[in-house]
Amino acid sequence: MTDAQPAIRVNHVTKSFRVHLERNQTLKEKILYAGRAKYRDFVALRDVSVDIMPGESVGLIGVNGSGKSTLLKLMSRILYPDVGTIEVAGRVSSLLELGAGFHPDFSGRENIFMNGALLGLSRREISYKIGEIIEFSELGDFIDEPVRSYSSGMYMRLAFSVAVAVDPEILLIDEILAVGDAAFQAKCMSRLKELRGQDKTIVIVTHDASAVERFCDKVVWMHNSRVRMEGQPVECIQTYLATVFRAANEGANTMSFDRTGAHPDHTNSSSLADEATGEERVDTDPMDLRWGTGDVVIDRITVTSSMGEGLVKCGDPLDITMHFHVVRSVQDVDFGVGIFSEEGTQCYGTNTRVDRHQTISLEVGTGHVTFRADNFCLLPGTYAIDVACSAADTQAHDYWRKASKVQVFSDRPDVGICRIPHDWELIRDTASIEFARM
Amino acid sequence: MVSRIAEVWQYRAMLWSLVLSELRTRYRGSFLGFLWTFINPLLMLLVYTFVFSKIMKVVMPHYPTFMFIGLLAWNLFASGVQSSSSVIVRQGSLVKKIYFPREILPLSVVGGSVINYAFSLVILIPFLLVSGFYPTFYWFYIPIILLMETILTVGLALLFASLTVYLRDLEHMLNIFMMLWFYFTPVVYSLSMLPGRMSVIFKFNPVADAVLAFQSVLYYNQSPHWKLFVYGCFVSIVLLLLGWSIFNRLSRRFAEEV
Repeated sequence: MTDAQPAIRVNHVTKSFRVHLERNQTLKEKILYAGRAKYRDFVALRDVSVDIMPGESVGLIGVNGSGKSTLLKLMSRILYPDVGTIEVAGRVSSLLELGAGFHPDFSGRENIFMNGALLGLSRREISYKIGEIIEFSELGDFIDEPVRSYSSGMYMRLAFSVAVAVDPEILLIDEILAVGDAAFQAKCMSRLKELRGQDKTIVIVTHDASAVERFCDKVVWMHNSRVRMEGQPVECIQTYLATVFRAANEGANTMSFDRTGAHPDHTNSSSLADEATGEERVDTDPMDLRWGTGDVVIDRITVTSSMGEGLVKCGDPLDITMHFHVVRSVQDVDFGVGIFSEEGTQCYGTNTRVDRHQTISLEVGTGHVTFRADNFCLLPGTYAIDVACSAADTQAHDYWRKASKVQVFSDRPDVGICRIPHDWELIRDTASIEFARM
Repeated sequence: MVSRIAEVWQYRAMLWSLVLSELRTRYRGSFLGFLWTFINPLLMLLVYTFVFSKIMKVVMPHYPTFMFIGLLAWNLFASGVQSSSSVIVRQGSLVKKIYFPREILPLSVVGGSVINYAFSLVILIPFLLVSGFYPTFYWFYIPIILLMETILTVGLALLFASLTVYLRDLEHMLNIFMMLWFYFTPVVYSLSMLPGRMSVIFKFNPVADAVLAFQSVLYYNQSPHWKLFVYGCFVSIVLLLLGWSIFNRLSRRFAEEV
């Protein structure tokens, strides 16, 4: 298979949508506003080229509105490109929405036939597979009840069971991995892995980075209507997560129609450098958030990791640096930090005194002190940081609540508050153990 | 074009399933349920018979029979086209979420109309027998005439289904237009009732050709007027090709417009 043809070839595709500012769909409006229709073009895809080889599992990632679902819809021929071509070789089954076309008045069994037909299965194929479908759905006696009476979880189970029973060469999936309870999700995942094992070409749009990393051979990252990055899952996802969270910190994730300015290579490298010196905003109501004698004043805080300002990947090193100036000389002070979750839970707090650092006395002047964590192990979320400089009797010289924030992201779906540093050790006593990639 | 047909054929299970669910849901929840499929034409027959024989006093032998034959043929056409005109918008959730040849939707509507026509024959045929019209060999023309009318209906159904997506008024304009068309089709009167020259206009109306053919076969016990019938077939096929090519062109943006 040296020069195999791609299963899907997306060739310089551009697709824009008309966004009607006022919908002129009646005759009156069409005549009245003829020639000055009120719409603007929204470019959902701009010169996108992607090749997907047979048997590849590809994850499409990107923030909302980045064009990934549009790309998937183009691949499944629901939409057509304005410019460029899309060639798809093989029988396609697209699962853009589970249960589209379910009829609430009909029983689960009847809906299997109808939905299967919608997905292009013949009646005979469905009859042949119906036992398997019902078994997979685990709906039991409910299968002969009208779908109207189903819970939403049951509805999804039925829909997914039909969807995966389709035996396509190319499977296009949009955001449907989060189906049902945990046990059923695992089942869905293993069914997808089975399909992957059968050398099916699979394209998945999802926000579940860990699923992509475990499941896909390749990742295509869509950003602002273009392909931003394409390649190894681990690499793509880490860069993606870092960029997305940084943007979230800057409040730059607001969607905008106008993407003409968004160049493909206007990327993190430049903005990273810009931000390293960025100053923190002081909160609007400093009275509640800041108090102290004023003998020592903390001027600004920088929170930095290798990912940039205010952003860290769980498990990476993080520095919190306080720049201060001393107004009057003080004896025996300590510097402290406190880290709080969004709910206000204190996740960690310490100071130089607690940590038995040597006694600090300060003369008039300026300086800075850094809290350096080798392994910042809090799990993903936004955390507020308090900093303080206090005297021995806990009288604050400067206590600054919510002085800064840090955004933590992760490429692993572990749960809890923090990632306890750990290893796994597995020792074979009698059972035979095989190791294989998940 | 051949590949389009092949694809529609491949999706025949979906087509059939849509036709069935349409037929099954139409009267769902009503007390008489599926019986309405038969009761409807029967009641229609009674009303028209009463109006035209007792009130209007049309002097034509077996007038209710004559009219009923034409009315059923007309209903097949009118319901197929009218219901198709909104089918893409009605089934918007499917159009946006699933790929399938879009032709399936109007085809399923017309398919439902044809099947309804077949059911109404269950009323028509006993009625013919009771009124003294016995089966003749001309009845073998029925499937051919039905095919021609179906082709015509599909052509216009495709045309209006695609246009209505972009111009929603069309659905309502079509209602009035169909009413007008109905009176330009010899259903409640026969061509011989018209003043001389006027009947020429009617011959250009392809629906009239289908209705006239049904009347020839079932009422007059003749074979259809072959020139008219060939003309009707020709127009139907032209309209089908026209409707289909417009549908094809417009269907590319359906998912964005519904």
